[in-house]
Amino acid sequence: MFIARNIAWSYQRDQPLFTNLSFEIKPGEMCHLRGENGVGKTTLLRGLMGLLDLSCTEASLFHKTDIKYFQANTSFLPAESPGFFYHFSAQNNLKFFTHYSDTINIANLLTKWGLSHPYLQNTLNVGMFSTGMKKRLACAKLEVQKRALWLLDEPTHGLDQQGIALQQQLIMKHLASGGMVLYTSHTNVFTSLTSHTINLSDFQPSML
Amino acid sequence: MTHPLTHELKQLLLFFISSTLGQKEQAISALMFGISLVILCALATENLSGPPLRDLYVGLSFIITLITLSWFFMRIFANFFIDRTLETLMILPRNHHLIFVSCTCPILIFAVTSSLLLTWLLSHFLGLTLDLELMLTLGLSLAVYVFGLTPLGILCGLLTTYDRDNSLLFPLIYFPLATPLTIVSLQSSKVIWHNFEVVMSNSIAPIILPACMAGFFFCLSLLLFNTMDNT
Repeated sequence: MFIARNIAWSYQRDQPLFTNLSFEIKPGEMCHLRGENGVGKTTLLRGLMGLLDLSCTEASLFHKTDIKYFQANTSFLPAESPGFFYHFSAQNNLKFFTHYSDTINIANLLTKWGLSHPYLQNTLNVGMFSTGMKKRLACAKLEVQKRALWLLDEPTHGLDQQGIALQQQLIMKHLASGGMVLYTSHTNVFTSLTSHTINLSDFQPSML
Repeated sequence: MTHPLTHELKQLLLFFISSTLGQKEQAISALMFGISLVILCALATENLSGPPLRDLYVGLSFIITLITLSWFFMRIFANFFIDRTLETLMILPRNHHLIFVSCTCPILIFAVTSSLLLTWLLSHFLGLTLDLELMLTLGLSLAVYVFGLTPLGILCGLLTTYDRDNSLLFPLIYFPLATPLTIVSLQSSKVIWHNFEVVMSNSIAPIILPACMAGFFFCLSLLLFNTMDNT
């Protein structure tokens, strides 16, 4: 279970973006984080991953508050820059993120995500990939890392219909196995899977 | 059975070696930049000879090394900016010390090799004939300097990766930090050069202080990298 209590973040002191945000995600649940542009959705996800200094009274995953434990058990899918090594092929990137495990057939995995051409898998640098191709590769990384909590920032951004369908199947499988998902989106693309919604705008302090 | 840390270090080292090799254009452009500086220095000092040229040679070696490597460190992580790769590295459940060490090793090998090559080229262009032993001692002094400079450059390069004005910010952080090491290393090379016969009996002695300082900078960069959570 993931529990967050009284999360707040400020650009500068006395200029909070959101305050008193509390929520829980139980195993098998998917939480939708929504709000207008600039309300702090990406900031919240980056902060939860330890990339920004959020303040909170509690943030625990399976009752453990250690950030290293959280990072080791959480997968983060950014909206636009999935953090791949730009000058490496898709295969080499996935090999690195799977600790060069012999048990994973990376070629099959990439084929499943529509990156079947050997040139795409082994030769072309990820830096030359389109947004959609990078997102597919990021989904393959999500699948292979098998972490308990997924933080997905605009997960469908850049994906075509087939990619979205594949991603939906992946999320369903993850939830069925007791995984948790927190995602941001402007569309209600995963409505049927969503167990609850948080509107981040409700946690914006009044500036008047 | 190998220790898990050894296994992880091996994996990371192999990865960062291929990562550095994959950015060969950055290395080549830095080397070309260094060679241009060598040629310019050689042209500017063509009428000099004797002791002033020798002093100038030591100074120019360090200036060329410092500037060439700065150029390299500032650009080597440019790709990290595009895809926010550094953030991925920082949230990886892996030993951050090992990540830094394995990232530093291949870059350090390039930095030492290229600076020695540039210094040798400079001596060749200036028409200086150096005793082999003197050349080796001076080379060791320069290698020690680069050993301290490289982790510092990598840390500054990573720290400024996400800053839009990194070409301005990098020198602002890097040069003041590199100055004490540069001064100490330069002085030690001058001592070696001017008192070579005396130093020969204990040729490592003048390098001890720069070596300690380089070691300090290496450890400092390693520790600071580990605290770089908020990128």
